[in-house]
Amino acid sequence: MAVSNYNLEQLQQLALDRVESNSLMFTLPKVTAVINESIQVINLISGFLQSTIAVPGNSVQNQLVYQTPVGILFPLRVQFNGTQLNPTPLWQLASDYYTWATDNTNKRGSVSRWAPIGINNFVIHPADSIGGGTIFVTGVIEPTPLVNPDDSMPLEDEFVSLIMTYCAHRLVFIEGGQPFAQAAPNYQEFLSVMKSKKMFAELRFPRFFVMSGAPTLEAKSNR
Amino acid sequence: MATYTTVQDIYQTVCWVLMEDNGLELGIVTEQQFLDTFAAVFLEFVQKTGITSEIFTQQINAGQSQYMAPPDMVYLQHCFYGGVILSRETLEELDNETYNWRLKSGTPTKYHEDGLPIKTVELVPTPNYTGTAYTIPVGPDAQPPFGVYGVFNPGDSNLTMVGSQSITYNTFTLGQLIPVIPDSACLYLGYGVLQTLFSTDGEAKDTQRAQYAAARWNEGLNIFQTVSGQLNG
Repeated sequence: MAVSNYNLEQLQQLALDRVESNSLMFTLPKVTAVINESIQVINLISGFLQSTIAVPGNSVQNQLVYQTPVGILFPLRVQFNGTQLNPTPLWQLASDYYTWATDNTNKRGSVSRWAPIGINNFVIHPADSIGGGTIFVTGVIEPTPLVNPDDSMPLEDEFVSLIMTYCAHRLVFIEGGQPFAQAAPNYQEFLSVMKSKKMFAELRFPRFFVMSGAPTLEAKSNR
Repeated sequence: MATYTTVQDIYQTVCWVLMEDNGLELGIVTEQQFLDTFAAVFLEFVQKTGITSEIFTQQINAGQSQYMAPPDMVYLQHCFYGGVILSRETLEELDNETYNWRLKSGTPTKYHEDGLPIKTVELVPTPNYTGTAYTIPVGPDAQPPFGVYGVFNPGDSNLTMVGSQSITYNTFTLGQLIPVIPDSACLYLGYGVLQTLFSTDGEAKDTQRAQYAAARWNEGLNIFQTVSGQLNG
């Protein structure tokens, strides 16, 4: 899959091409907002933007709870001193190890597992009895919003096509009525492609059916 | 939790969709209506997804079996006593398992929430000791329960609650950063607001766009419920 660097100006032009270059209705701030939104949505579903970020200040002696580093949207993996830790739900960790909250590496050997507490905290087990160990968190990251025309990001061609499919219906959502009814199948197409790219198999997409044609005058008067 | 998304950003999105690019001026939907709807939608998102969690540890008192969760904890996931996980039971289970369970005292091993005021738990058996005290804040704004956030403090032999985080107020201003939820989740709040505005009787009613907004709102809930499920097991 070819990856190229796209800047905001290029993406704006491609998006406007999908809406008949109507830059009066779809002003650049609106197009920019929708492009950034599409990148966020694609990233949430597919997790295509991932990174590894260190926990600031390293491990602290006998500290159990750490905050997910800023920038990580949700954590997927944790490394302690270069060793990958096993993920485990908090309830399971606490059930399997009765003294988990007081365990440290002196008593139980090296740090070997981590448990997330929401997206914002996690615990390591056993706690590091020395401190100063490096903790790296790998996870899906927040995309940096594209603001200036030359702000760019590396994107696979397929993702650019997805962004445009998204823009094609989301921009016309502003217009409503028949134009939106005609553009709405792009959302169905977007979802059907995203189904093959989703990061979590359990994720279910909403049902969405397109009303055919514009509402009749009779239907409008009955509102 | 959001680092750059403000309520104003969601407001602007809603204004664009309502074709009022310079703010809600036509009176079809007012700014106050937006803010009220936003507050309701925000709370619903936080309650239904529970993506951000918090840890709260409070003092256990001898003879006191019921404890409140802090006001900003919207849904209680786990309780720990001195770092040891307590098993969640129903009243029926407790009644069937242990005769006169309410009269027993000792080291808590279970808790239940049935038949109690909201966000209150009852420890079983009733604690027969008092844990380490924490500083009680003074002043008119100080509201119980008093405790410490973000730590389990197992050595203190106190009660730790882990649950999803919310907020204690329900009024927002346009300039404020959106609390609790990450930036990427904020976009779905716009769809939640639009779903309500487009499906409410009035000049803004638009069934077609309400359906789309509802689909997008559900998409957001599904994504973050799945993430939450993955993380919490």
